[in-house]
Amino acid sequence: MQLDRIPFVLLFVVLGVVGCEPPPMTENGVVGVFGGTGLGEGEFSYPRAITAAADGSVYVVDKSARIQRFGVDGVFESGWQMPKKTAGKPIGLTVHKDGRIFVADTHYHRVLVYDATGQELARFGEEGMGDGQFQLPTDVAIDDDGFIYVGEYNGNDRITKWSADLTFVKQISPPEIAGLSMVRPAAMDFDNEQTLWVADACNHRIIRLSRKGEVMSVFGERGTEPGQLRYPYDITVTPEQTLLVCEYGNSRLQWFDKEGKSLGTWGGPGRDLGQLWSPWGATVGANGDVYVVDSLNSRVQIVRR
Amino acid sequence: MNARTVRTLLVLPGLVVLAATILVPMTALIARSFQAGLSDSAGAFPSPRQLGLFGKSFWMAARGATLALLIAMPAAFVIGLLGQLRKSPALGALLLTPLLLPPMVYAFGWQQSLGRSLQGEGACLLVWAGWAWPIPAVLIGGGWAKRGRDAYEAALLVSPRGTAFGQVVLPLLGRNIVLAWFALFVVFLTEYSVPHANGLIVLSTELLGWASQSNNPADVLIPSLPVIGTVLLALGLMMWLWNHQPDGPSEQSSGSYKHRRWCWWILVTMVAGSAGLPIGILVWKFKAWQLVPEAVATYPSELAASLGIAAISGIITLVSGISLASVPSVRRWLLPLLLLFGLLPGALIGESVLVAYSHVRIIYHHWPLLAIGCVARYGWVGIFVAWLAASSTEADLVDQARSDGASESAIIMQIRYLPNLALLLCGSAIVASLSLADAALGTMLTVPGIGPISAILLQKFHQLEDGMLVALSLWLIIASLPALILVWVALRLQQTRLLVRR
Repeated sequence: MQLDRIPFVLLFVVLGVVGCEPPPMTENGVVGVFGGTGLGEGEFSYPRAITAAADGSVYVVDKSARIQRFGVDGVFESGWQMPKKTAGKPIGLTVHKDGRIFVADTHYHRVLVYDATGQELARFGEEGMGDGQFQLPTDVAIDDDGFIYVGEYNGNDRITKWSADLTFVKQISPPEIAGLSMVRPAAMDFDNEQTLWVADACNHRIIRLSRKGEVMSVFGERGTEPGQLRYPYDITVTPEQTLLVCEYGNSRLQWFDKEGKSLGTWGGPGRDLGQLWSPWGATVGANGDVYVVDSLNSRVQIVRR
Repeated sequence: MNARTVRTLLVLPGLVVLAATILVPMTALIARSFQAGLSDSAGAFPSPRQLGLFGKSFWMAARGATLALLIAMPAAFVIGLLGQLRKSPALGALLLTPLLLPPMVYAFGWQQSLGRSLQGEGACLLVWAGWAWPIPAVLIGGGWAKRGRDAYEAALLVSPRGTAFGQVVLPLLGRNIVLAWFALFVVFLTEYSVPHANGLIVLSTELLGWASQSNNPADVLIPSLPVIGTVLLALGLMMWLWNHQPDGPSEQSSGSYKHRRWCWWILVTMVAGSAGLPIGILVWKFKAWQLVPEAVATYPSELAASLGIAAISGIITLVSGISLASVPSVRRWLLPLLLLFGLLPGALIGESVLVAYSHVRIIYHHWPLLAIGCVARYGWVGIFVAWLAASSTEADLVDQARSDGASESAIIMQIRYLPNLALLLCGSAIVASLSLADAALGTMLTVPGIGPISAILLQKFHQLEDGMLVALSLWLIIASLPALILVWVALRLQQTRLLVRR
């Protein structure tokens, strides 16, 4: 072998070794997927909500009224059944920093509290439009002081505040925000400034409220372009303090900064990996990956940006 | 080319469509069910719960058919007095109106006017009856016009009215009444949207749920077996009744209907009460005309796609109908088969199409999936309309054309079908309207990025977005209007041709 060809040979060897390493699944950033249609362990029947715990696990609830717990890589760990499901199934899941799981049991007008093994610890709320009552609760958010905030729709379309011992405190959402009443506050999350971000789904907008309910900002309009929204069903504040919005109507995820400027979108309608079909929820896992509930594809995709 | 070659070539497109929409899905469903084997949830036979649901659906359908039959009787009587529908294009369009509008819209309308607490079996039966009463009205009224009235008037010469009607007319109309009852029964047995809108759990609603929860087609096929058997039996009986109707005069020898305006008022009142009232309440309560622009702005691509797919389904159904109806021997056995598919639960048809094409990317990921389902379900309309068009051509005219040296293709196209273009387009528009309103198929065969409006309508119902629900309902109603207009045009042209022949 001629000496001047050795570097090229070495280069090819190195490339060959490196090339043997299987590349991560890079279909538009998807690094994992789990689920599939069915009623077995690890399968879904139209999943609709997801939340991530500090230990890396994620919880998913679907239309069979099962809550399933998965590891960081999507491996099924455990699950349990909601006590009632005939009238409807939950659409909101939130993990408290102490590990308790709050479930917005929507069609039973209550919130159930579980531990990580599925043991019910408490429940609060009853059907109605008064103080301490719910009409179709959608989501739960918890601030650093332990106060619990519950969103509801169907006539109530409000956010109420509860103490850590599950006692009603007050309604915090104002009757009108930027000239419109909220219609289906589908999801909420707190940022590091302890302001509450709300996905006002049927108005296709995002609202920022103080913990007292003062409107701090509103952004969003109906549409399909970047910066526009169509039925935002979930909102999560990322560790970078950006807003991750799951758009059911546009079958995509969209990131915003706190001023409402779009930072990009991901997904789009389809059945392939990297595409979504009417997603209901998304969350950021402990490892920074995004877990998105790809509802009509009956799966969860793990996305790394 | 000789006549046989032309007919062979003409029937080919229809056979391709038939294979793609019915034969392949049927075969795939059965084959995949055997291949997948019985799951934990599906045995070789329907479970006791599934049989119970079938029994509940059976009983509800029977009661609904009886109620619709009773409600239809005044209309049947006046239709008989007015004479055959060909004489009155407006009458034909009027009677078709309740049928073309999505039945779940009626359910929404009554719930909005009388409260969502008005749900349950009673509400479901009333909505069904209010939607489908024109079917028995036409079947019984037609028999009344064709055979019953002359016999009735003859019997009046020697008997009182009650005896004349009971002992002479009813036996003559017995087959029509039974035929009408069975037609209603099979429609209600498999209808999905009204029970769903009324919060009922029946077999058709559960089938859809099982289809969406499972990858095993047996989970849908096995529970459907009692329905398939029942529909087959009912269809067989209906065909027998239809083919064994007693003969009667082909033309009604009545006086002019122009002197029976009160008959018109009865029919208009019935249509207004059953269709106009719930829709009117819905529109007025929500000021739907203000909400329709919002709906169009929110769902522009979905509305456009739904319209486009419905129109394409209508065209394909028409073309395949013309193709298949061109050969009488093919038509004779095909119409019952297509009608069977039209009467099966939407979940079963949807499941069969999904199973057949889940590995054909260009179909599974795109709009043809829904179009195939719609053509499978409503293909019978195409062949029926094409048969009507072909049979309305006088045999003398065809013979004359042949003796004059016209080619077979010219005879088929220019003599049989071109003069009946309005009728054919009417059939196509009816298929499009029915496809737009089919909630079960729309829910099963939706594809990413294309949400059928019927499925979105159900979503809005579940999510209690009443304003958007009403706006989309109004849009569906508006989309059905071309079909009604074409019915009027087609019947008007038929009427003109009848007058010219005389």
